[in-house]
Amino acid sequence: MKVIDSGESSESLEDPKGQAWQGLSGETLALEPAPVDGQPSRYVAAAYQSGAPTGASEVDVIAVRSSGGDFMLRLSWPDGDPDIAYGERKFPDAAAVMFPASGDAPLQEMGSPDQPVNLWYWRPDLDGECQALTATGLGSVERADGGGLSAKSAYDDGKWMVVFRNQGGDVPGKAAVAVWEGGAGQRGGLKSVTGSWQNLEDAQ
Amino acid sequence: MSASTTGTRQIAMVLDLNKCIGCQTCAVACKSLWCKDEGTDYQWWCTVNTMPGRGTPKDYEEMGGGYKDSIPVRGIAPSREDFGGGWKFNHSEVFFDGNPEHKPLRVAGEQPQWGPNWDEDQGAGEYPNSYFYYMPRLCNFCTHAACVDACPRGAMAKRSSDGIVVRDEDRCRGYQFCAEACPYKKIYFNYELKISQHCIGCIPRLEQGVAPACARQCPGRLVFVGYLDDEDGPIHKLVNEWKVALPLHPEYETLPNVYYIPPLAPAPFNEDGSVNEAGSRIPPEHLESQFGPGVHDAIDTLKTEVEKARSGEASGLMDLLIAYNWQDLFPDFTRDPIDITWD
Repeated sequence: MKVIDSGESSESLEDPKGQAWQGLSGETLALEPAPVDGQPSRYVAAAYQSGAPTGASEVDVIAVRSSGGDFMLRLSWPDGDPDIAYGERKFPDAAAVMFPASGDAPLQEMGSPDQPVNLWYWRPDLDGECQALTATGLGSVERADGGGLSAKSAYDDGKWMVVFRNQGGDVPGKAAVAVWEGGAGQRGGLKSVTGSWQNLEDAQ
Repeated sequence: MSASTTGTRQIAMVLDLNKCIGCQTCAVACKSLWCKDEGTDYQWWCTVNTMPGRGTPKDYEEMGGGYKDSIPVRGIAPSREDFGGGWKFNHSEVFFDGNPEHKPLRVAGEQPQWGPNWDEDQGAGEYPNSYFYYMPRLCNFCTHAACVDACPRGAMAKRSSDGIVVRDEDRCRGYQFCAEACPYKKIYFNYELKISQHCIGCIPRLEQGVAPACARQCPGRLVFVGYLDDEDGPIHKLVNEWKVALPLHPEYETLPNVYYIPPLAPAPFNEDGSVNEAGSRIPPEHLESQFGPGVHDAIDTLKTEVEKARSGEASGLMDLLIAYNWQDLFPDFTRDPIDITWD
């Protein structure tokens, strides 16, 4: 996936529906349910073996570098019924982008003790906060220094659109995406994920 | 054996249902100690329900969880509404504005349609053989804790010192798998903090030699607390020696450590108005549905010992259950909390 040198300011790109995104093309990535077999929970592995909740089947991703040098990503995916808060056996929708902190961190396992991963996590009930996370394996997610991270979102015309911004951040070599359909019960390890790392080719 | 069974000692409780008067003092003692902060308005970690009944949360026995042949069973997490929500009252009107019209305390706003012990004193059976009993419920500190097994983040654990199930709220990310897996549905979601919460057995009190609030405050003196392996203590005697204290729903396979003395009931009337001295108004099959097949022997033992006491014979079991001295209910936890400087 190419990281487009957009020439637009970070501020204009922060609007997920803004003109700055018009005409930019990214890639549509297929999403698949994360396997429950390896979940670090006997309960999840057994109870959801025959029916894990399903969510989005694809996500559109556009990667750009703003005129200010910020690395930014816009994710958009269809969701006919947005879930913005916890409800009765419902969870807020969510999305995350994962990057290897170094080397060839395993994707399905969300890193390893030797090869951690970094994550940017958005949820509509976090009041615009983008959680910076790190993980060294399934179930090991910890909060990390969010520094220059932010996320802005919009829901329009049956689609979620989320723009992640990393001020001054380098373009990671590759990324993976996860999306949670909270209304269906997706949360934690029950999610829709890209099955492989996506290489990011920085135009600079 | 799962990772959740690594505790070296286990604190347990025995609740004598023959002494419970349904006064809810235990529930209020717990509520006023633990559930006053944000997001806990609807949380009652200790609840007392009329049985037979739908329980708290509503129809909890239909919500799944636990194990079947050691395999985790899928469950659903009870919602705020299932627990009855957090009722708002007209406290300001009654207590702070002079109340010139002498208005009584009422639920403010929309009237609730459910709450803890909503089916109070309804019970079951037909007059004159209708019946009910009260059942306090709290976390069961299960030996095979389904909640601990369920948490993918390792945020829950059983303490090796006492087997109490604890939660690291900093690690909890609000997935609620624990609430799904708990077959007793004693885990609550804090919608403000976005984490789950549950009874922690009053561990700050236990560590100071003070009984949990629900036990210490019980006017009916029906709550025994102690270590399961203490052969001189009341728990071991009631559970392992007399075998009259039984776990609730043993078929859930979590090995709960809150035990119940099953309720005896008056003899029922026959249709001709005579009394069936050999019978019980509480159907044995109902008791078995709650406490498992061991309940029949337990009831027989209780009846035998009651008769011995009535006829003037000594009964160690009755002396134990009567608890002439309240300190005998929890001999290791008799310190008065007022004597302690709490951090």
